[in-house]
Amino acid sequence: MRFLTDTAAIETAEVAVIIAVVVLVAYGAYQILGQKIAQVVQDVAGRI
Amino acid sequence: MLPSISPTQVILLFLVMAWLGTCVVFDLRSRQVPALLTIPPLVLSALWRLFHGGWSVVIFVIALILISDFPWPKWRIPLACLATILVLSISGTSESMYAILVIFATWALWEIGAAGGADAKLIISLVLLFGNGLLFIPIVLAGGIQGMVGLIARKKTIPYTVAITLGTAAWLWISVVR
Repeated sequence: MRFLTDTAAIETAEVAVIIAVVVLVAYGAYQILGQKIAQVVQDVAGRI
Repeated sequence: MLPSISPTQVILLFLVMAWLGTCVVFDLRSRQVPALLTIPPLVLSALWRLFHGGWSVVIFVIALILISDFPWPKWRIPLACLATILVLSISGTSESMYAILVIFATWALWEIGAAGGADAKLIISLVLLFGNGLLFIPIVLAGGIQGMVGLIARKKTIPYTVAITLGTAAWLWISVVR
């Protein structure tokens, strides 16, 4: 059980910053475009 | 004005913060968190999620643990992606979908070596306990700030349990206490 036995608690600083930026951008895009994306998916599903 | 929360919630929140605080102490001392502080909480939070009907999320976590030991490393992430798609297709609520995506992201970061196993287990335990992947947002924001400070101070690695604890405290304050 490799995952369970790993006790390391180290994170690289660069990766922490990159993850924060990616999650912020993704969350912001979802907040802005989420409604429109759902509408497009519903339209496509309706046509099928 | 004091927030109105039940005594059970107060005890649960106190236990969670005490547990995370203990993990921070170990992390700051040795950059390791003992298995005793990560595996039992993971099992307990999985049982808690099962008790609350989140069986698909729990099965997904078990699948990821098993995929971690798959003998061909290059197939682990594709297999986990497949498992994620399968579980997402059967998950009912948006909360469980967020939880599955966050669990996958956390596991994948560990698998590629960008995150420690203890940090990954702590985040997965918290997501299982609270059943909401949105908890990840304040954690990564706190981690981002910590990472920036680390880069300015020219430190290559940071103790991420600090970000996990601060992010969880912020999320609890926003969603439970307020």
